[in-house]
Amino acid sequence: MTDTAPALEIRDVTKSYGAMRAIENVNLTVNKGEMVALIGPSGSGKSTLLRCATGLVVADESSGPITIFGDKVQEGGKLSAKVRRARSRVGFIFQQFNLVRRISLYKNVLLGALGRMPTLKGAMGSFSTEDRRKAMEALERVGVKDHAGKRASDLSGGQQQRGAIARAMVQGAEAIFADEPIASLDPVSARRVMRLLRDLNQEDGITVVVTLHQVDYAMKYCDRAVALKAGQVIYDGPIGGLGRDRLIEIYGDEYRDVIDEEGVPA
Amino acid sequence: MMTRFLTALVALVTFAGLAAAQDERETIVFGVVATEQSENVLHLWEPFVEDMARDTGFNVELRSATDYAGVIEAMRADQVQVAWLTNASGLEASRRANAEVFAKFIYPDGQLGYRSIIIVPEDSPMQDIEDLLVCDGTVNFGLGDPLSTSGTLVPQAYIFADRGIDPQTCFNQVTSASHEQNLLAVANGQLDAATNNTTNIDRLERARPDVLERVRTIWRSPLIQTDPIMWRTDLSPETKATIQEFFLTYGWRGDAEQRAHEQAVLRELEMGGFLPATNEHFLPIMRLELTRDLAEARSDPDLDEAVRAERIAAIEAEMAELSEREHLVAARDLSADIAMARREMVANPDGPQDQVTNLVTTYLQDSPRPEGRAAQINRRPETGQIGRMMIGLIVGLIVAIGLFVTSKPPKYSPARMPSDRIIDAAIWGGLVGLLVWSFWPAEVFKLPLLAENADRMGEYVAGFARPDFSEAGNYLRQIVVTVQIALWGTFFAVILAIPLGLLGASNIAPFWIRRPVRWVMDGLRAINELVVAAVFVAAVGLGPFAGVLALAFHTAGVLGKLFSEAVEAIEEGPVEGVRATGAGPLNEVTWAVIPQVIPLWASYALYRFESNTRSATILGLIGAGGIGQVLYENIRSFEYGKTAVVIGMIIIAVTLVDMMSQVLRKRLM
Ligand SMILES: Nc1ncnc2c1ncn2[C@@H]1O[C@H](COP(=O)(O)OP(=O)(O)O)[C@@H](O)[C@H]1O
Ligand SMILES: [Mg+2]
Repeated sequence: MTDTAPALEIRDVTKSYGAMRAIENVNLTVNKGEMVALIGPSGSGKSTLLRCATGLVVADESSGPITIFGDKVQEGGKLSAKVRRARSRVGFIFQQFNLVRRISLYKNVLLGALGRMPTLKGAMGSFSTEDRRKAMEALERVGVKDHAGKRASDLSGGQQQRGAIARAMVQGAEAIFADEPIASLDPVSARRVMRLLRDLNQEDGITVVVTLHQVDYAMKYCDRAVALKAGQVIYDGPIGGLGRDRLIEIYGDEYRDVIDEEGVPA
Repeated sequence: MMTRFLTALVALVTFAGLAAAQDERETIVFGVVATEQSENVLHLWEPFVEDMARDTGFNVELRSATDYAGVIEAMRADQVQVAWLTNASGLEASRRANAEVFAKFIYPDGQLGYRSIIIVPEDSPMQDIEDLLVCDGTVNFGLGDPLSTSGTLVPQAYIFADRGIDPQTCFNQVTSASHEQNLLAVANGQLDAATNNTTNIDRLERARPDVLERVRTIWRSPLIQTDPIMWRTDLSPETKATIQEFFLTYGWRGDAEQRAHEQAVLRELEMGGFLPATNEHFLPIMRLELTRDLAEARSDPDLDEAVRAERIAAIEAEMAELSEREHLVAARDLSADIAMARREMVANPDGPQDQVTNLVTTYLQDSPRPEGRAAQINRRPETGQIGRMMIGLIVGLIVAIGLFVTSKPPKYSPARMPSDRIIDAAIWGGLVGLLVWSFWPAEVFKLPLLAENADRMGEYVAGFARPDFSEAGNYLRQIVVTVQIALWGTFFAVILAIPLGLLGASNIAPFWIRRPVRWVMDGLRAINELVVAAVFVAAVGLGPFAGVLALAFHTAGVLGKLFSEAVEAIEEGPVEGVRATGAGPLNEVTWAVIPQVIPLWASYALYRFESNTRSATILGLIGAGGIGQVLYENIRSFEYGKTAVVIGMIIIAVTLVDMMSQVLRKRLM
């Protein structure tokens, strides 16, 4: 069952803040091994959708189930008892990196192992040699091994974001959900991070769902696009299907001027 | 600006006018010591003071201090004119506070004195005083207040000085506390023996028979005279006569109804009436002091033989003079006469009822008195609660209206809403009103005394000019103890504050946990360390550990709140980051919350350690050990030179601790 289950399945999920619906009746299936770009204008509900997917946000009572590799995250406005197991299978990357700033990058990466450790062992910080090895390897792979001993707060944004990806690797994540992972980065770091995500997808078979507000990055690195507008999915298909008219539909009339000035991103 | 100034002026003048239009009767302040059950003692004296005010026509006020030194100081500063003191403190008052004895009280059963006793726990192996004086250094012994006659002086003279024993070397530990504290400590087995007196025991016979069952008396002193009633010598002769007449006849005059009332008042005070007395009253206590000094001079091993002989000769000369005076105690005769007359009145209710009054009147006419200058009278407005509120209201209103009128914005400036101006005016008017309302209850009218009597504080200051370093080594040890108390108190507080701080934070604990945790913290914080310490003294006895616990609980409340606030101010992102890995709540706290708050927590803890070092000093006042206790004892025994050294050392120590912890805190941030 688990083997054939999709990486992420979302059924009829709605999330309201007061009277405002951040996402409404969203259905989405992401299969294993896919690399999906989640696009849409600011406030269209991208973050909300991704956060619902790991149970960082609890959806409305009317919502259907959300599962990750067949493990239920939430349903009907309640987190599932298995949510921690589901979370441990997904690495979550944040725009602001969300590393613990006062501890070393290495420790931060090790924290990826917490999900599969007994609580008390985790709280006392008795990580296994295997986990430590994984942490050093992951740091090496993302290219920040030299900074392993530094406090997270002493590193650049790009280095921190790569550390966050290393943490997902220590986690043994089978999928990575990344919410605007490059929005706070300079172009060089942004490119590194996106390439890293693509490598993980192509070489390790890790499923990637990434929200992006730069359409060009989406086109360059992803195969499939899901577009949200005002909380609803208005496009779900191959990335190549995002033509001029689609983009104007997604981003609104004013986007016409952007395209006219800069051309359709390729 | 000008108009505001005028408003203030008008308010001030109104206030002064209202303040001046007050009753100006002569005020006599009657001072009593209320160490034990403070409220209660005051309460018992109230009807007496009411009667005194009515009969003498003076405005009589009752004032209490928590120890004898306080009353003596107040008397010296002429803030207390008449006082009920003990023999030892009374002698001190006669030497330094311009005070003299004019009466003494007797017990309801006519007894002329009481006895100092030594008590031990009921199940103690000690049977008599010799068992106590084995001096094998195992016994924990409790003395009374340093100026307590029965608690300290009499046992010193009759037990220790007589035998040439030094309590400090004889016993394991010698503490100093009130009779009540000593009694409880012995009953609870925290002390192996302690001093007490028969009056205190008699009183508790009714109130706490359960406690008395647990103690046993192993020694009784010879009879000690009852306490003296003293006045300042410079009261005018007329005032003195009025006061003395009132005291000496109280309870024994008027019709049956009045006598019954006055006797009832006296009985509550454990008294049966007053007898005349003079400073001769102190002859026995002076003899006690000389006996003690003589024994000390004889046994002090450090004394050079020539000095010893000289000192002994001096003391013996003083004792000879004392004997002379003892022969001349004329007041005693009168006492006997009055006592006899009273017995007759009781025995023969139908006979003449004015003998006591006659004897007293004759005594007052015959005994010559030195002229005194007129008593310095505290003119104190007798304004009631309502009156004060009215004055406060009026002055506040004037200020408010004045402010409102003058706060009209000038031309070419942003408009202000009238409602804003009303609120501003009301706030400032209200503040001024409150200050005026509190003027009398807080006795701010005494402000001029600060300048007038500055010289009286001079003795304390003069102590710094003549510092006495003879016990500096001991002070240093006690300061270390104080810092150690603060260290452990803060440590326990941190241990308690970590769970409290986490469970009280809104981003960690749900409402139904957070609320009660915050109540607990508020409660801990609201109670002053001194109060907490007093509670713990009952449980763990006098000494540093009570101080540790007091600091721990109070500080846990303070730190818990600060810790909570730090937790509430953390970045939520890292917590989500850890949560997203599938870690549980405990690990979210350990890995994402704690690392964020650690520097702030540590800084708060260090800061509290600083202030706990200061608080630990104060805790010494209630017997929690350390330098504070030494300070307090020195102040109470008027050792200005030593007091100065202690204060100086405390300042240096606290400053050092502050500096150290500031350096540490800087590194943490
Ligand atoms: N915690 C929240 N409280 C209230 N409104 C929120 C909250 N989070 C998101 N929203 C609202 O939900 C909508 C979708 O937000 P979000 O998912 O962040 O959009 P996107 O990530 O696409 O920019 C926005 O209108 C936003 O203001
Ligand atoms: Mg977003």
